Amino acid sequence: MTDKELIKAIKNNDQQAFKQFVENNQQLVVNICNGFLHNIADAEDITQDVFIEVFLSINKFKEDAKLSTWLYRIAVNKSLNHIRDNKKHKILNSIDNIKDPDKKMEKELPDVNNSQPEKIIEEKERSQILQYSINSLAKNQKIAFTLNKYDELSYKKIAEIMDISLSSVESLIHRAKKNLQRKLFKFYKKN
Amino acid sequence: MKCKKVNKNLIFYIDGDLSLKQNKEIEEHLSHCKKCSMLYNEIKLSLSVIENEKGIETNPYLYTRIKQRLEDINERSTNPVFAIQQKKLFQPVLVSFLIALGIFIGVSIGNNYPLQENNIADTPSEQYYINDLQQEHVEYFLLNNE
Ligand SMILES: [Zn+2]
Repeated sequence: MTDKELIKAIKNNDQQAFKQFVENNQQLVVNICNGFLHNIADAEDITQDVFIEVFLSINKFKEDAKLSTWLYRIAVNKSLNHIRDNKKHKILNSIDNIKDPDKKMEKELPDVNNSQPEKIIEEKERSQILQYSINSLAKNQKIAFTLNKYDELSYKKIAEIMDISLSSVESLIHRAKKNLQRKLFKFYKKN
Repeated sequence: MKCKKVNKNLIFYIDGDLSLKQNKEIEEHLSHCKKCSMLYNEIKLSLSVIENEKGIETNPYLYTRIKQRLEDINERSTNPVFAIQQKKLFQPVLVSFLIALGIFIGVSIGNNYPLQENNIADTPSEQYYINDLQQEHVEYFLLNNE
């Protein structure tokens, strides 16, 4: 089924076509959301919202545009809005909660059975520092970097989703990496 | 290559964004500079956590849930119309009732208190009297302080 046929089918309330569309794209949408949210349950919730929005607003969609680009754009926007509106993510974005080992890490201690608890704590902490650093990038750098790194989307696809030129994507990702490295160095020097 | 230049390029080195020549220079530098290779390891470890978050398997019930939610939305979108219609009917009735109630209360209060002009005239003078006392009290207090 081409995009055009698919859109027409969804507009005609063809449930089977919509189901197929969800199943073909859910994997990538969940991963896009998780790239921003770093929480699988949240990513799945937002993924549901994304497909519901597609279904409800399919009539506004221009048939000559690319359906997947539109879908991924909705996924990015919904994820960013969720971060903006959600307290849990705000806490995560606060630097104090990352580097206070007694406060945060103890609660999330891994099972006793695990053979390498220290390694897991270290990894968890690393992951939080990385998330904090990525989240503190300028918005467009963050979007481009996340789509490229977490979702392995091509620069061309990212350019389509963000509606900017290919060279802008290159420049955004270059600056994102440079800034990210600087932010990470700061953490290492502090500790 | 100097440490500063190597540090600046570590993330690009790890991502394979550099030219062959730059790659070799950094490799060479890392082999003998302990400080830079420590930073290199840190950055590499940090970026490697991204790999752990990739490729999440989706919940097999995702479509079922979406379908359920769409059905709920459908149901609700029929109910609100009914609710609004009820509201539209109810509001004028409520407003008329409140107006009628207001008139009724006004009339009954008027009937229960026949004109007593003396009473109305007396009350303000009592209030003035009380106010005078209070003012005196404040002045007295101020004078004492001086
Ligand atoms: Zn060095």
